[in-house]
Formats: sequence, structure tokens, C-alpha cells
Amino acid sequence: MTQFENNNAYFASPFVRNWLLRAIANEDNDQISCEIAHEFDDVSFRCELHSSTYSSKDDVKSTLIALVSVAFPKSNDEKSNNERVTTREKFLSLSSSGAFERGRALGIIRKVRVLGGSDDAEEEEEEQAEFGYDATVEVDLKKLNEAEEKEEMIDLISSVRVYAGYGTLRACLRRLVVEEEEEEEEAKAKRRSFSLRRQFASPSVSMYCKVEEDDTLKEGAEERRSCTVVFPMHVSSSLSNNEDEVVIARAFLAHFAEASRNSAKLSAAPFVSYHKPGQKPPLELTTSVDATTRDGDEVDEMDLNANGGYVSFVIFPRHVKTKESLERAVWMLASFPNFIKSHLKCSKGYWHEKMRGKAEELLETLKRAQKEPKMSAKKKLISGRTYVPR
Amino acid sequence: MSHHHNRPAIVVDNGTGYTKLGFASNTAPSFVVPTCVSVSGGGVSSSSSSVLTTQSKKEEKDESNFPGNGNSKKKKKKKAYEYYSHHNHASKSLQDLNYSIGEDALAQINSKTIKWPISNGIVNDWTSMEKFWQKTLLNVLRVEPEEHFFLLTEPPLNPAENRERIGEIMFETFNVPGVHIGVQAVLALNASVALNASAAAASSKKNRNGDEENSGNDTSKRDRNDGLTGTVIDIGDGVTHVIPVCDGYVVSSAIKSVPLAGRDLTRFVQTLMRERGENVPAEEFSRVAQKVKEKYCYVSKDIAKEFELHERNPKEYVIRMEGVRAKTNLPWQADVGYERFLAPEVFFRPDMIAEKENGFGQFSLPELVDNAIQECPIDSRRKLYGNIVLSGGSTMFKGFGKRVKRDVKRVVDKRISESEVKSGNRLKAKSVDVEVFTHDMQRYAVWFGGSVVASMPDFYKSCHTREEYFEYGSQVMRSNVLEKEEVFF
Repeated sequence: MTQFENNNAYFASPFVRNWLLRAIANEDNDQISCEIAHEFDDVSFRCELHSSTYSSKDDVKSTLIALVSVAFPKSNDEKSNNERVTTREKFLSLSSSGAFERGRALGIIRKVRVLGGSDDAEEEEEEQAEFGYDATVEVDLKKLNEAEEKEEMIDLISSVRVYAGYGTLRACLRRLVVEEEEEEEEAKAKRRSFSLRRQFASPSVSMYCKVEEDDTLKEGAEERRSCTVVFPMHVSSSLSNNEDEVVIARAFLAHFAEASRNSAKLSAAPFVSYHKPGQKPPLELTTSVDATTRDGDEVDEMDLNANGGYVSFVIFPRHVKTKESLERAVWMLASFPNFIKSHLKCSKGYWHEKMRGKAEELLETLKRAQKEPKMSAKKKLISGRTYVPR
Repeated sequence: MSHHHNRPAIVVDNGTGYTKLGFASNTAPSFVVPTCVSVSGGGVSSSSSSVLTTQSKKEEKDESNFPGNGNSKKKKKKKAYEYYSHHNHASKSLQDLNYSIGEDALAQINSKTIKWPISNGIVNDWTSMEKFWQKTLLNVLRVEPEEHFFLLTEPPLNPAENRERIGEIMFETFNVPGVHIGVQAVLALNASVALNASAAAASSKKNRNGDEENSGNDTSKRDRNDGLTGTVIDIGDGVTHVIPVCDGYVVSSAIKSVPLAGRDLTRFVQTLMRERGENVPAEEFSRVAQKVKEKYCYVSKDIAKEFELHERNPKEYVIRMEGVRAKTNLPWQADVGYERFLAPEVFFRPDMIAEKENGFGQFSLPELVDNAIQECPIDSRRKLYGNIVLSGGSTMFKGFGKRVKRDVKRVVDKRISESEVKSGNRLKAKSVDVEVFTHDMQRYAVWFGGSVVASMPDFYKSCHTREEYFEYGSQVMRSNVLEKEEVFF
């Protein structure tokens, strides 16, 4: 859409961004109230303002605190409460990602509260997120407004969705670059065992990641380790059973995979492959649970019959080397199914537009072909002569 | 079906100038976007090509950082299209896919053609409208349209074909589960009803008595029914409407509309300032005029007195604006004087600009209100006078509501006294109460009303659903669901 200046900008939620900008712009905060939003993949936001007084070293100050909360959807697996917390913990990764360190150092972000409390027991701010939400970021609006890094910080806060979620996916991708010494023997064995991890973006959208090691390449070679991310594409839900979309999706995805292969410019990009729905699903999905270690997630049966086929990306360590590129990769992968969905909508719109144009053209032609109404009676001119049209 | 109800409905109010977007149950729209689309073609070709080359350069740069990032993916997509277009020789038409909306579009005013799909409140360019919706829903709100109910607005007297078009686009392109099309005036009334109710609730909380609570419940119910009868003065960017509404139904035969609204006021302010020779840079003039209109204009009680005040005490009344020229960085200064009260005066003395523009003709706004109400059923007229509701950004001037109230009252009293004289002073009429309802939400009154309606549990019943649409075709959109069954209030 637009060229963004820093990394965070393009996965920043426009809603949170806009809300923060409005909250900063109006000082007397009477126009801004609590607002909710609901983005794709069932992620919901709530932003609200609190004026709070806090006593620093020598004086009592009052300031405006913005609470930005994010909630991720509950997956179907989360039946019991216990199970819910564990899947949540797998999903949430805010405390470990450390993305908000900079904001904290500047004093703009006062607290980051996560469901289940923070990781560090030493810190006193063991607070839960706002009720019903998974993570809450407390922002000091005054400091934010005065800071030089205003734009950057706003983008950072609006990206809370990326930093708070997608824990499994991030962990898988991070394994590509984490040095082996850091891992214990057991973990090493686990990694070797190609276990499959399932990540929910929402109950209806899932993806599978599998870290693999290619033994044919020599130790330390960059391409030795790779992570394959497989998306079973559920194009239209059972609610809106739309055959057209499925057809468009198949063609679109086939072209997508082909284009990435044929273009010289994209030679460094992750390898994309597409399995059509009629074909066998990718091997990664069919050999899900490792026989020896019994580790890994089961593949959902629904995901084995995806109506739009399967798209898989192969990510190599070079794609996730730096922190920024890791976060980018996480976001690009996590939003991929929605990216495709929105493009399906747009291409449908495009075709409808053409169809409308054709229909109008046809109607015009038909109108022109209409016979002129016959003169009912002979028309007479004033002089008394009959008028004969040619 | 039921699980859509957990997600908030989306309220979209498409106006001539701005589109208001947001989620139901919020008090203000989350986004206010200029309703415009920029498409390539037209404009200066050389500058547009230079824009393209810089963009592609940047993309290449990005790619070296991380190949799997957004740009490269977008590129993949683009490649796919190129591939497609190569085979179909349709590359020319595929240029249409490159467009932007809102502020982004306005920024490209030099290199691209800007289209405004809505004129005078009515959509007339559906292609642009659909593009606009695509961007707003998918990129700005970032929602999955399949999972939300929608509330869209329409102006009064919207042709039924347009409702069908809305249905076609919403159901066939976006796969939405349900759409409700609300009439803007009725939504504005809903907003005032909700605000009244909340104000009443607040006051009853303050002095809480056992008796009052019981009776309060009854009165609020009655108020609600009364609330949906009223006259809406809707002054947007492009049109001014006076719309009488009885029990939630628009009295369509009595609607008055005039093509004089916010945009014309801006132009008027601009002419006044230009004729006085204010030193405002030409390229910024319209923006400055708009700012003057929004920030400094007010409605005076009496023009002559106001002129006098300004003459006597210019320090207090004349405002000095300052700015910097965008290109040369030279500062400029300008004084804002009489236009502060002259611009809104246009609504009350249309002859001020009637010669130049297609103004109110011979009627001022209060007269229009009176005429509209006089064309309504006689038993509802008192209620209509008693509940005049303002909506739209151009009703936000200080003192606007009071002035409308006073002037309407004058018109009515004059007529009553005339008829009393005609009857030979034998009949005395009960005086008519004129009440103008002003509130803080006026600017987004329609949107706020939509948000109130869409957050009620009955809302889902009042929608045209996907199933209905595909069962009966687009003509289901023609009927108002309100006619199908009584749902609201």
C-alpha cells in the first residue's frame, strides 16, 4: 500500500494505530472512549484510557494511561480449562520475545501484562491481562507524545498482536538460528525427530511447522536446517459455501507457486510449493507423530481434506537471521491465509466489475436492436397531407 | 449462524465527503476516510512513471534484507498477475488493480485521477465504490467480511436499484452473512434517542427514589416511541436534507433537499478571504478555508450587531492565522474576520450566495423545516416541531441549534397569528413548542445511531441474510426489513 519507514509499520494494526494517534491528538480526552475492534482470524482488540496518579520519587503526577488489550480466539481444542491454559501458553510468547524492551526503557510502555502473569517471578508486576483478553500493554500517553521516537513507538504498540501471539511458530523458526550448544541433548534429539507442531491462528485457520535437518549436507552448512510450514487452505467455510472462491483459489495458488519458482528476482525467497486438493497432502502432514519419541501434534482430520489444497513454505536460517526478519517471517506466515482470502475477494470483485460492464453493454445493444414502435394511425400534417416517415 | 453474534457488527456510513467506519457498540467511528479512489490513467504520465520506478527500486532494496517479506510476496502476486495477463493479453485492464483510497489517494492528486463514487449522497460509480469497500474492509479495518454482519446507510429517496447493487456487492463479492441498510435520517433519530435515554438514566441515578425508578421505566419507553418521530436536519458535505420521520418511517413526500452544504460554505469562506486579499498561499487556500470553517465559525444572533462588535473590538474577534508555505518555507499570515459569522449565516439568508450558486432559492433553512413539517400528516406536526434533530458536520457551529429554534419558532408564530387574524380573532391556537436537540455526537450522529442499532440483540433479525439473498435474488434488498416485521423498539 504505502512505503513504510520502519519494520513494525506494516504489521501494525491500523485500528490501534489510529486510536493512539487520536488519543494523543486530543488532550482533554472527552472525545475518546473505550473502543473495541475485531480483526481477521478472530483477534479482538480493546483500547481504553485511564487517568491515573502515581507517585514517583518526589512528587505525585497524574497522567493518561492507554490500555491496549488483545485477545486471541479460543481454539476448539481448548475444552477444559487446564488444557486451555497450556495451549494459551504455547501460543502467547510476549514475555519471551522481548519486543517491548525499548519502549520500556524509554518509559513509554509502563507494563506488559499477559494472561497467566509474567515470566519473571522477581518482578512485582505479576498482573493478569484485562479480563477476557490475553495481553495488555499499558502506555503512558504523555511520554509517548513527547518522545522523539513517537512514530516508531506507536507502530510498536500497534503490533502487539504479532508480538503477543504465534508462540509455536516463532519457536519453530527460532530453532533454525539458535546455536546448538544452547540446547540440551534431549532437546537436540527432539529436534532431530522432525516433530510436527500445530499453530492456530484461529479455530478455522491452522498451520503446521516442522523443523528438519538434512543429514546429507555437512555440519554447519547454512541450508542444513530448514523449517517447513504447511497451510491447509480452507477457502470458504461451511457457512458460506462458495464454489467460485474455491476455483479461483486453486488457480491463484498454482500461479503463486509457479511465479515464485520462475522469477529470477525471487530466487532468495522461501521455496513455495502447492499441492492441489485432489492430490495427496504433503508428506509432512501424513507422517505427523514421530514413532520413536511420540512427540508432535496430531493432524486434524479436517486439515487432511482441505478444499483449497496445501501451500508449503520452506524457511531457511538466512530468512530469520535477525530479530526483525524473524518477526517479519512470523507475521507473513501467520497472515498468509488471510492474505490469500483478501486477494480472492478482490479478484472476485474484479471479475464482477467486468461482468457488470458486459451486462450493461449487452443491455445497450439490446436496446438498440429494439423495433421502433409502429405508428398507430396515419399522421396528418396541418395542411391536410398525410405524413409518411421514411 | 449463531457464532456471528459474538463478533461485533460493522457499521459503515458512506457519505459524500467522508466514510465513517467502525464496530457496533463503540461510541465513535474508528476510521473516517475521504470517500475517494485514485486510479491510474489520466494526470501527467511522466510523473506517475517516475513514482513507479522509485517504488520498484525500494522494493528491490527491501528484498536484499529479507526475501520473504511483504514486498516480495506482493511481488509474487504481481508476478502471478503478469503471468496471467501475458497469456490473456489483458495487461491493460489489469492496471486497474493498482489503486489507493482516502488520504493516500488524495496525496497522489498530481499523478492519478481521483474518483468520488458518491455524489449528493447517492452512489453513482459502483466500480469505484466496490474498490473503496475492498480497501476499507480488508486493509483498513482488516476484518474477514464473511464473519460480520453489516449495517450500511443510505440517503432518503435512494433508488431501489442502488439497494440491490449494495446487496450484489456485499453478498457476492464479500460473502457477508447479513446486511441491514438503515436510512440515515432514522439513524440520526436513533442516536438522539439513545443519548436522551442515557442522559435520563444518568439523571435518575443522581436522585434515586423508589417511585421514580418505577415511573422512569415507563417514561423512557414512551420517550423511545416519541423519539422516532422528529425532523432531522442533516447537513453533510454535499447536500442539506430536511427529513420528517414519523414513528421510524420517513415521510418521503415531505423531504426537502438543497444542494448547499459544507463544501459550499468552505468555498464561500474562501471567496470572502480572497476578495479581501488575505495573504494565503493559493495551493493551501481551500484547506485553510476549511479549517476556518471548522474551528472559528459561529452562528450570530443578529448580523448587524455582530458587525458592530467586530468593528468596535477587532482584537477580540479577529483571529490571526499563521502558517508556513510548503515549498518555500516562508511564513504567511492571514486575518479571519467577518466570515466567522457570515459563513453559517448562509443557511439563514440564502440570498447571500443564491445569485452565484444553486442555493436555497427563496427559502432559508428554518422556512424549509417549516415547509417540510407542514406537508406531513396533521396529527404528527406538533411532535415534529418538538423534536428537531441535527446531524452532520456542518451543524456543529456554535449557536446553530438555538438559531434554528428561534427562527423556526418565529415562522410558526407568524403563521399562527396570521390565521388568528383571518379567523377574526375568535379562535386562539395553543402555541407550538419548537425544540432543537443538540448533542456532542452531531458530527457522527448517523454512524453513532447505526452503532446503537447494530449493537441491539434484535439487530440480527432485521438483516437481509445471505440465505435470503441467494434464495430470492437481489430484489429482497428492495424491501425494508422494518416493513417485514416490527423489530425496533
